Amino acid sequence: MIDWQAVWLSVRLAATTTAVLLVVGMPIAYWIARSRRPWRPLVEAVVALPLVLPPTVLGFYLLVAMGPNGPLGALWAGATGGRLAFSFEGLLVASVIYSLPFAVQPFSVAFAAVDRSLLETSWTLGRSGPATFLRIVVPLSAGGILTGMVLTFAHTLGEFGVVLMVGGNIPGETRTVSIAIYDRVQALDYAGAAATALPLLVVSFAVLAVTYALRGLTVVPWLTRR
Amino acid sequence: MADPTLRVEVERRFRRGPTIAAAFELDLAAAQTLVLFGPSGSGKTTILRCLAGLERPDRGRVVAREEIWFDAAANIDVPPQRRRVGYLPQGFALFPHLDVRANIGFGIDDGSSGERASRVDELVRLLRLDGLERRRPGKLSGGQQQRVALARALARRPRLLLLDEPLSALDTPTREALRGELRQLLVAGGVPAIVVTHDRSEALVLGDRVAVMADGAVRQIGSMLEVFDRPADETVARIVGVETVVPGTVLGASEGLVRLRVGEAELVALGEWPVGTAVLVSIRAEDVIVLRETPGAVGTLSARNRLPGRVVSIEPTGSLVRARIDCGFPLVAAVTRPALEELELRPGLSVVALVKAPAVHIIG
Repeated sequence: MIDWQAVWLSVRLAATTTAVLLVVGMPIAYWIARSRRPWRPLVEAVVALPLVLPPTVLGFYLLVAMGPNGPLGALWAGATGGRLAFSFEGLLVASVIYSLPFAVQPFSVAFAAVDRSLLETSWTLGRSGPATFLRIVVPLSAGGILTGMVLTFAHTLGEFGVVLMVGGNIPGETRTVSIAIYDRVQALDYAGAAATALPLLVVSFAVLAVTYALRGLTVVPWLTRR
Repeated sequence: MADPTLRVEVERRFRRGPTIAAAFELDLAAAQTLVLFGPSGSGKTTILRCLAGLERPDRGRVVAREEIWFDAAANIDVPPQRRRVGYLPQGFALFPHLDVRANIGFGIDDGSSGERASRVDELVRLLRLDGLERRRPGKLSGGQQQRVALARALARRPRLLLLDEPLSALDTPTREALRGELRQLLVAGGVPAIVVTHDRSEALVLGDRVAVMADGAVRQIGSMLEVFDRPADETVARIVGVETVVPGTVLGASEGLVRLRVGEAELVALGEWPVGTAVLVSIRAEDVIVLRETPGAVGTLSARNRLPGRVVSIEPTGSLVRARIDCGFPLVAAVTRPALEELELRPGLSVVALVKAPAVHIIG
């Protein structure tokens, strides 16, 4: 009864989104944490926008942008010859944008908490900016990075509105768990909806519980200095 | 052989803040320690950061051993990575997630892993950190943290050490105990150093030379004794803590001695000044001898200045007591506690203050 195909698709989408945001989100977060440019608030606002916009509004603009005549869609078509809207890749792009604040904000808070004098000392010891980031900033921000990754994963797993707008309901391609559940309820198949909803609940709870337990263990040694 | 001089001439302007403009030179061949000394806000840390490459001056040049580190006109600003300086910020900035060995070895980027390890071993021995190699900085005392920070800075064989208030992060008893130790470590390290401090005793213990800073500028630079005994102007005199600084007028001069009118009193000092010159006179409290006025007890004295006066107040400062004496001008004398008791000094008592002529310093 459980729509395993939808569960697997959701997990794949959440994992890929988390991986992409780890790579894309860290530089953005570091820039926000360290920059003193006057237009930093604008960047912060753009990153936080998905927190306040209804998913349908964001989904609508993304759909237009990803359509064959939209800038993203045209770019994608030019590069791959394929279609971006109503595809897994389109869903991934939408998820990355929609989950941006859930990754960038915890990253940024953690980066900002790293004492600037540690970075400066590393520079005077001959280490480049990127080397300092990897050897000092990342280890000292491990807790915040982990939090951002978990929030991104969980948030993508439970995503509904944006998926519906840009992904539609194609089994194996864009039908995620939340869509599958919605689909069953529309068809008055409450038993099927419940069977698919339960793993989502269990997985989400387990991921969060394990994360908070891990964070309590790993972060303490260097956060409790002095 | 390149000219082993560090030439600094920088100006850094802060919006809605002070302008720091400092110029000085330091011989790097001698492996001496220069103390940047001055009150907080005088720009010491800014200068240090400009030397480390962490702050970009608005104008000026920094040249070390004929190598240009910074030149505003030529738009040269060598990044901190390529200046090879050892920089110790306030609070040491040890990497909290790395143990002592990893902290010390952090900046070593040449040689095989075996060579790097033996370099770390060498520094562990030099700075007496044996047994602490696997500890994290959070589990070290303040003094141990300081030694680790020094070891980490020395590990790259820096050409210059820059220490920002190296003792201020420590509590007072530790600080006093570590002053002498830090001096020995700096000498043992064999690397020229610039140390920022606002503490007079730290400056005296740590430095071979001192540059006194006030209001963003270097007011005087010279050997420790030169500056503390012969402050160049009133500001420097106040900063280095010469307790008595009073205005006077030259009355006459002969054979290298000048007679001065200071307040109601007359003083004799060394120097050659035209009659009538208005000068400032500085006398260190340690150079004043206090004598109880007992008729007939005083024989012949070498001290040229014998100033009868009256004790105004007695202020304890640490192991010394500061007596303010009105002897025609306000004079501060530092005496030990036993001397205070033996003399039975108290406000209102008549005394004679003795000052040798060479201890009376004239600031023109």
